Amino acid sequence: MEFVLSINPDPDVDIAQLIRDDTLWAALVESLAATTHREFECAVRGGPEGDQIYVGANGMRQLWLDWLAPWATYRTEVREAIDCGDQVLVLADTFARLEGSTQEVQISSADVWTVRDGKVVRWEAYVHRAEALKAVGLEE
Amino acid sequence: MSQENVEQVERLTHEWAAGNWRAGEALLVPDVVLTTRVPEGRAAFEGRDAIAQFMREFLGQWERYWVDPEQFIDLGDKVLVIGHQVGIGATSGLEVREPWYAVFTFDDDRAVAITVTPDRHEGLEAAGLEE
Repeated sequence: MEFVLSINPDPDVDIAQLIRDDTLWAALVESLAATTHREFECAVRGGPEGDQIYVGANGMRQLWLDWLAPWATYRTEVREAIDCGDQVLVLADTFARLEGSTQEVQISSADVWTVRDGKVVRWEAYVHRAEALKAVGLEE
Repeated sequence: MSQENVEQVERLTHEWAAGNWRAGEALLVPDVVLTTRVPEGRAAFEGRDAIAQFMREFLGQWERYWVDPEQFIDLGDKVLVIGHQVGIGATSGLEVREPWYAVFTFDDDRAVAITVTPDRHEGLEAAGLEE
């Protein structure tokens, strides 16, 4: 579980800048190379258009770019991490500011990380927390 | 209550995304006010009948029109939805895609006002997140 938590950005990291800046992104990809599985994929689950699957590091960047489009800044603080065997459920609070706004808003998030062969093979961001809990067998 | 309001807005806007524009009776008060853009500027429509009349005329301009609600932001007594709206012109056949900001204002567990706009500034202003 600590391994998965170490991959999550620190609370003071602006993910919007991290993802959009080519240099920062290249450095992130380098640092993640040792911890992500060669079959790594990520997904947004439960969105209006159904599940969106993205493959590899470039896919992860595209997922973030799509999601971050309305946002100027985007920081995440992990509130709770639950060990579910080869999966870890991460519940977090996001503090983000929309483009053009001066006010930060708070959003709750629920992600499921799956580990295989000691590396992260899947990251799933759930739109609905209840579905994330259900995915790891912890229905509310 | 605000999280329940977010979930209600999610369900309603997903119904709209699927083309069910009649959905919303349970969520919207009878005299709900819709503020939106019209060719002459901005206009407000009060009550379900006035809104239904406006929507019939609006949808008549399009061969197809739909919304893609993508992000839902809980702002206490307001819920901000950010997404896109897409329309295919009835006569031109051209596809128009632009941002869609929808702000639902709640009194207790029902929405009393909805502001819809493609303009970020207007959307933020309606949500109380002014630039």
